[in-house]
Amino acid sequence: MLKYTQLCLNYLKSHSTLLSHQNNVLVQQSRNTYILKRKYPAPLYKKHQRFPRMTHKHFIYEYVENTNRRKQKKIDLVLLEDVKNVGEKGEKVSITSQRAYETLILPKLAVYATPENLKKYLIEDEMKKKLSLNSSKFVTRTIDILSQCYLPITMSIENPWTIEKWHVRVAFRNEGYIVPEDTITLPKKTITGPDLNIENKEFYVIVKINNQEEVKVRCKIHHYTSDPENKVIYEVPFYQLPSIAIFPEDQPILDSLPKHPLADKIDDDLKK
Amino acid sequence: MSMKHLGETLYHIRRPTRWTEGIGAALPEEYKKFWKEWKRTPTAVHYIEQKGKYMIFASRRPVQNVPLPLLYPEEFHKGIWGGEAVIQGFTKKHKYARRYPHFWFPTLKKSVVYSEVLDKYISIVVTNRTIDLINEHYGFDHYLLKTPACDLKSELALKIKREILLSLADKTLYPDDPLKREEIYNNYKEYLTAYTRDEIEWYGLTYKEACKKWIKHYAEKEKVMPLKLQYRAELIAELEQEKSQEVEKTIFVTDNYFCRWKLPWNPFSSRSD
Repeated sequence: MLKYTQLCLNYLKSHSTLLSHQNNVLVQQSRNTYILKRKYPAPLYKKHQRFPRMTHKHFIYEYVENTNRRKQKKIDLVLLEDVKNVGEKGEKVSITSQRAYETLILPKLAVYATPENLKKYLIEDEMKKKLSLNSSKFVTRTIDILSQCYLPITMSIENPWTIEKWHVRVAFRNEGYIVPEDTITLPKKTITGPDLNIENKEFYVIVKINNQEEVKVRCKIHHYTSDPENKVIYEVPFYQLPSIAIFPEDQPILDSLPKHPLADKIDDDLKK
Repeated sequence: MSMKHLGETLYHIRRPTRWTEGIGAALPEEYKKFWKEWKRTPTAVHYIEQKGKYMIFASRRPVQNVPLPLLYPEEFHKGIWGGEAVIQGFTKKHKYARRYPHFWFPTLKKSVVYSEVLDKYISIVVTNRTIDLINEHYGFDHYLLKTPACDLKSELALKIKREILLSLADKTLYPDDPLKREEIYNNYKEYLTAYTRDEIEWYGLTYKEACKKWIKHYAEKEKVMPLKLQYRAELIAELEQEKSQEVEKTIFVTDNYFCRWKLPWNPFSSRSD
């Protein structure tokens, strides 16, 4: 028998000259689980025989199905710990087979929902508990996204202004979030401008989701003018700029907010 | 069987196989049982098996499932492919086209399996089908213990199954944690009923390994010694015995009072002393 690697190499060799095998150019080899059938069914054999008499034509196969193209089966699991975006401890969830195996079963975050495991680990009244905690299933994701956001509030460099709720709402809309004005809470002290001392400095607003959950969102003030000479231009990306609070008492809160995912990597690179 | 074929079988001398002579014939029944389980035709993976006894297809004809021949390369025995293998065959596009050789390969990927009995994570090459089967059986150990050797097929899978069975039979799992050991043992002990201890001892070995095992355990006991060595040893023992007897004699003789060379008293000394 040929070795496996040798088999592959031999197969590739036959494909190397395209012109000589024009029939097979379109049928590219791909590595999948195949279900095949004989193009010409094997002949019948007698009772005292073990195999039928086969000729070359009985080894011509036809493609029936590729099992890797099938939709993956879902399997039931019981979670042993809280898993982000999946569920809480003691909850029964159904996830696709491959993903469940790699992300939950191997790290022992969940067990299969066998009758014994259901008795042992399932917590029945978790639905009620969950309802009391969050207003919706997707709230945690929204909170994650909003708390990571660096909201740029672009103000005029020429006309005087004080920051109001609608400025923040428009800034949110520019970033792609629809936030009604009555959910936004501004800081108590007023911020007025134009003032280039507070350029690229930060403050935070509080957004209330579904009248229940509150998120702190960091906002950065940027001054804008259409005059190219007076424009403020930064060469580095926004998450690389230093984060300094307008009101010094807000500094610890702003530092505690999660940073941009790339910010850490850049710190590491600079250190190296 | 008709009379015609009966004649053929009566005068037919069977070809010698590995089981008819030499070590193969001497191997224990336990290993032969495992071999039969291993080399049976596996379940249909790459083709759809026809059910029932007869089918009506233009006319009534019996159902005979002829499995597609599969290739098992060297790498097959270093992973667990879940019944998949390489298929060698031909494709034919249409009636007047020439047939072209074609190989169908399984999709392999590197992954990890966890054995609860051995308490070990093992990094191996698997297919998607293997992982689906593990999930269906509720765990890697259950999958190995429930599936017969013909479907596992690969040597690696059988080796791991052997280890699991040995540790269950000897109860050597979790040496530091007696509570956990009891719990896991109770989960898996039903699988032990299918095997005796000797069958487990001979399970999951290749033919070569089984022969080596047999030589090590049984052949050494019945080692043939040349007679020369035996006679030499006897002679030496005899001579030694004689020698010891002689020494005893001489001691006896010298101990005799009359035979001593030196007299215990001096004949030339005066009485007065």
